[in-house]
Amino acid sequence: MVHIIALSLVLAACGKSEQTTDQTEIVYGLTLTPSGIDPHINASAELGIPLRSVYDTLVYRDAETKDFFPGLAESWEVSPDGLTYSFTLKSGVKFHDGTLFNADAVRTNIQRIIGPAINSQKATQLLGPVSDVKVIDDTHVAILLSEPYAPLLDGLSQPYLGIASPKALSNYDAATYQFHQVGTGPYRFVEYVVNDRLVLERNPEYRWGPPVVTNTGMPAVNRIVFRFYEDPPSRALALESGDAQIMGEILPTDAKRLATDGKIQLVPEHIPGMPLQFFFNTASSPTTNLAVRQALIIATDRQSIVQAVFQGYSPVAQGPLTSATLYYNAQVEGRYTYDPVQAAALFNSTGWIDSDGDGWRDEKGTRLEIHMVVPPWGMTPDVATLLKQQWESNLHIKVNIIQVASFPMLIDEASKGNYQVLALNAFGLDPSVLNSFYMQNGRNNWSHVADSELGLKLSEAQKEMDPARRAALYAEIQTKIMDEALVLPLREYTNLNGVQPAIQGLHFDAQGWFPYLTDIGLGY
Amino acid sequence: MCQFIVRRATGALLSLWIVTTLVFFAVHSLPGDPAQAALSQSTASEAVLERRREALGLNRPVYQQYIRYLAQFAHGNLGISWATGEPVSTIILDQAGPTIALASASMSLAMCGGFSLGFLSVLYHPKFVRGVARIISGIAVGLPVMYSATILIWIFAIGLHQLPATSTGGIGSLLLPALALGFAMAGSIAQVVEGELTVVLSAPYLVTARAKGLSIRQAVLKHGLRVALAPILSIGAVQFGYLLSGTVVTESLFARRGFGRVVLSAVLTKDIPVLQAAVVISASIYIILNFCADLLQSALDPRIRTS
Amino acid sequence: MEDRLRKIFAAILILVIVGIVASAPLIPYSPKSPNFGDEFQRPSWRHWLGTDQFGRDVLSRLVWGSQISLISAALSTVIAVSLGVIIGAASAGVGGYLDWLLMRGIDILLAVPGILLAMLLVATFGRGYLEISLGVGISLSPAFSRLVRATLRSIRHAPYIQASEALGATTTRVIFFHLIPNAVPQIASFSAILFSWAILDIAGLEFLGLAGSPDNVSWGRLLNEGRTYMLDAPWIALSAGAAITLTILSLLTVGRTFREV
Repeated sequence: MVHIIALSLVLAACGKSEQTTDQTEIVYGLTLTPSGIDPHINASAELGIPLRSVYDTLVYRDAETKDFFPGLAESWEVSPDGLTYSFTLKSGVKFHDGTLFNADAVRTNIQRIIGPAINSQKATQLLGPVSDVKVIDDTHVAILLSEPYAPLLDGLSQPYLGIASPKALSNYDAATYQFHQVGTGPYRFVEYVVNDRLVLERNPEYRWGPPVVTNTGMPAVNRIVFRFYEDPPSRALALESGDAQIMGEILPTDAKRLATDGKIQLVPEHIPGMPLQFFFNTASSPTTNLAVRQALIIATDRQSIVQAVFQGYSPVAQGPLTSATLYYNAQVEGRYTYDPVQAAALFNSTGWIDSDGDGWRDEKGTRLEIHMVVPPWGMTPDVATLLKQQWESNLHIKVNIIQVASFPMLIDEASKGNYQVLALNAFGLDPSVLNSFYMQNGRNNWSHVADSELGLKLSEAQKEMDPARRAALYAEIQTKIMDEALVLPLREYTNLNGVQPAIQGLHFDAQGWFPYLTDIGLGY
Repeated sequence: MCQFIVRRATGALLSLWIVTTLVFFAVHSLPGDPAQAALSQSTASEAVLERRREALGLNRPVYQQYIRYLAQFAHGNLGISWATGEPVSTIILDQAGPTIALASASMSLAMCGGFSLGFLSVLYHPKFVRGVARIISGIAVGLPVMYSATILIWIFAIGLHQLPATSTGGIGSLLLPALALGFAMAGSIAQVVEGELTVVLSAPYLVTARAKGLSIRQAVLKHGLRVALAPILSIGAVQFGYLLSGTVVTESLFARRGFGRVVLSAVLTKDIPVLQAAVVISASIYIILNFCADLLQSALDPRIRTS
Repeated sequence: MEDRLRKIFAAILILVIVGIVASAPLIPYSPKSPNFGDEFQRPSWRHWLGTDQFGRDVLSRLVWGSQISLISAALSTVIAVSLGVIIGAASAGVGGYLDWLLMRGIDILLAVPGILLAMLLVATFGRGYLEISLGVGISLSPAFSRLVRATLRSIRHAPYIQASEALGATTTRVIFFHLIPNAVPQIASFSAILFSWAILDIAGLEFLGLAGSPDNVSWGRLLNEGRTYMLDAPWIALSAGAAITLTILSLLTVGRTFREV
């Protein structure tokens, strides 16, 4: 009898310990299906969420301190002229297909990215002026640049520059590799069925986690299935009904309700980069005029709009960068405060008043119109509606909202040039994200910035290796952008993640979007 | 009869060819640059975009692209998706399954429901039953799918926790979407059935049948149904057209994988190979359905054959 | 029982039309100005249908929105009916080659998936409601022209038509003075159905984000917004959807009346 009790106790104990390394599976909700999920090729933030844990990167960045920590590289040195980065790599690291990680792998990956064959949309931008990679031996590799480039380490810490197995890369061509991805990370890539699911399974051999995570070995959760929830209301629904255990980008009203109900944990994450902002087209009347742009900013009650649409989960944006971004300068705060009376007076001073008495400002009888191009995501249409309301009632200027259905259509509409305001945001911890928006020939120069001063400063700031000097340069840049009233910053992007109570340990990397899945556990 | 079939068949093939050609040129005029496949961030350099445009053949005149398309099509090559780089045939095979499941389930529900409601609206004795049936079929037509889907989700998934709110695979997650879509289509079918049966009831040959001593029900079932069936079949074909749009909406609402959503995103990103394939497939099915409906109609209703 | 129902729905229909005509003075609250602090109020004596996510009175927005929804749908119907009658009558009246050509053309239009046709039309004409009405009207005309043609063909060979032709009536005269007038009941009845489809199609386009601007108020947009806030304020979606459904129900009942004349 005693044996039986003892035996059952032992069995029970074994069973319990087995539970923690059990066949646990969780469903993680993503939003839009990206058009491709090869991190070296595609640019969407969505793909990084699962792939952050499939690939290791050379370095990792701490989300709080923004310091760099060893990843696949144990240590590194930057030459004084900033043109050579020498990395000492970890040894004993294996890819999921059993091949060994070494300096040659680093070289193959970088060559793939900067080469023309795969038409990289983002990874190659992150590498900047990288010109060559030298393999010194199995654990020593040097990356050479043609000019100094301060954001390189930041780029190397992102999933887009994750190191893939050269063997896998050679087995598949540019279009099919994305379905058979092989990295060194804590999770293995199992399958990707377009529009349906992406499945990861933990890597039992993983032992080389970076110091930025708590669990540097094999993850606790066995299997993670990523599903796509394009329709925003369906996200909270899936979470509440148990279809998903983790969900990203929950609607603010849903988040508020979930927080009050107390059944779901809310994990809000501020995303560094550029806020949701409204660019003023300085090449199209009437926003050619500085006073007009300033009047429009001052006529906007940003606090009410952000509170109404985002339920207090997003801070009001004050400048061209969000407060979570590197080298954000608080000097921009309070530059423009809401004052509808002053705004109207400012606008009047431009001479554009209501001359024909129809209640709207006009120019010699032709009604002035503000055409606003607005994308459908991130609750931008709601914001635009409230903005139009405020501008029309405070300034008596007619606003026409042009909503586009997709990004290619936004570009199409913007290229026609007939807009005065355009809403957009962008992500990135390093403020060099500003470059394409404020340089004269930048691809995203929606404000049609014509003077080169900003562009020169941005170039300089990108090459500047000294952090203090860099901070000073970006401070000048942010102040100048706001002085010129090139944009109306609105809200800082906050990703509202929802998590079921049993899930513990969800935390994100320095870029804000990408979770370290290896630390997720089910607390019983 | 044989001549009839051949004539109709050639007409069908011709229609198919014209449709694909017209759509090809029309779709090329849609706004958007297909090289910009990224959804919300534009970080690609101009050089990269230009290379993509070259690779996709976008810089050549439209008629040249058309000829290239025809040549590929003749070899059974449906091309490669401009947005994802996958072969279009793979996309179709992957995504068609759930859509076919949804379509069949909805269509079956719609046919059963529609016929029953239609019959009830005309043939049953208590006036009350007829009235209620008509109201239900009216509501079915008038209820937008977005609305019925929202209510169904609200009731079943949230309130009762009975059925999955979003697609988790399997039969259970098919039920709500099929119900929502099927109910909407049942309404239109019921309307047509009701209309045709009303006409049939007052037709001369039916009066003859009744004079012979048959009850209304027997008379309708024996004689009228053959005639009424014909337009009912053609509404079936038209409903198929609705089905395609309906699945787009339903798939979005229930977060289901499927062909409808593929088509929607192809339209938004100007992914022409996928769009072309979608048109060819839907046009073929539509034309074939019409063809069969025509055949059946002429077989059933002698009056049509002679015209 | 049916008579009474028919009268009730006819009354609802008239009420809705009155809503459009007299909407400005009738609305107690502004349909567009937000009232921060009043969000998601349940239906009460102050707000009969509650408030939405920006504190706006739902009933006022519903009445205001009836303008866009019903007028654009009506416009679509007029376009569809006109095109449909012209094509259908020409087809049935003239017959032969013209008939074959027109019907093949119709077949082609119908073979294109609806969503694609809608997109092409929006891309061609624009996403304003005037343009949407044109597009939806065009997309609905094929079905209508087929019905018109079928109806007219069945009376084409009736004795009295043949008699008037024997007396020397031209084809045009036959079409306009004999065929069409005889098909009026059917045309009227099916127009009601078309109107319903137009309302639904426009709402569908709004759902897919292809029509209108965010600040437009229409039933389809309200239904959509309501969906997003279903768990916070179900009354938004419920009332918008009910408005659409009841209107269509009334239309169908009225249409049925025509058929039984």
